[in-house]
Amino acid sequence: MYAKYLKQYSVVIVVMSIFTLAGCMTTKNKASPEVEDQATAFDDFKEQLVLTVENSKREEILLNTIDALELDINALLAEIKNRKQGFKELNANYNASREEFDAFFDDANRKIQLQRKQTSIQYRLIQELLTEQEQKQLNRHNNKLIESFINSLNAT
Amino acid sequence: MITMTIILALSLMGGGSFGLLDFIEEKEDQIAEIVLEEVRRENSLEIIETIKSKAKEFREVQTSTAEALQQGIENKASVEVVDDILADHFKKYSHYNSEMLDLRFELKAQITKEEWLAIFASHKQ
Repeated sequence: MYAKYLKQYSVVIVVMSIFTLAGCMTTKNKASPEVEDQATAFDDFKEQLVLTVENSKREEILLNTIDALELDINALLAEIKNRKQGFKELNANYNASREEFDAFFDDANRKIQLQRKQTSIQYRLIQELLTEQEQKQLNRHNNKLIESFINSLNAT
Repeated sequence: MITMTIILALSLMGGGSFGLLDFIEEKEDQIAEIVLEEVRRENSLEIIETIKSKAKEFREVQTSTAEALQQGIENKASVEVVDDILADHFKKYSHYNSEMLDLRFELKAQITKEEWLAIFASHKQ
């Protein structure tokens, strides 16, 4: 049964990973303490996931999904930083036209649609592959993960 | 489930749901200091008040979207339902950005090029 998911989503996950890796490459070398904490929280979560999920096929797909999620988050943080700075620079230009702003929004909207697609895929995967009991067992590590993510977001 | 919460945050923040022009409201003090002509200064500060009010309204929209998503996830909503909530949110986001952009150009009409450069000098690379 799970081989179906693996086959169906593995290509998507690999593509997502490559895409998001490209997005966060520039910040990889200068990781802030918040981003390092976040990386540790993801590692801890994955360790706990391996201990919690006994089915190896589900475990593999979930680990891939969590990896993709981590890459998405890193790419997101880099994207937010770049977008904010780019927009401030455009605004600082007194002569910037409405068309230039519209082009900036169009580019942002294109990325929004892409993010929405990825979100849907990840939502579906996690919803289908993790049981209620497993979710409860992962709760404490989940909390650390979200806390580290919010800290990274606030530091961006 | 926390990964779901992260996905929520990804959807909202990654979706670009923070207001791109919200930073203008932080320039209130500089505008008051740099724009010396009273009428233009008062008009500019009035526009800043409108920007602040719109930004506050949109933060409330974000909160209600996050609550709707959270509720949907807790109730094991389908992907389609979650996607509909996000689609509706981004429609509002797009409208909000358009309104904020109108206000940005209204503000620009009140401010000279020299004043503008002085107000936003720190944003130039």
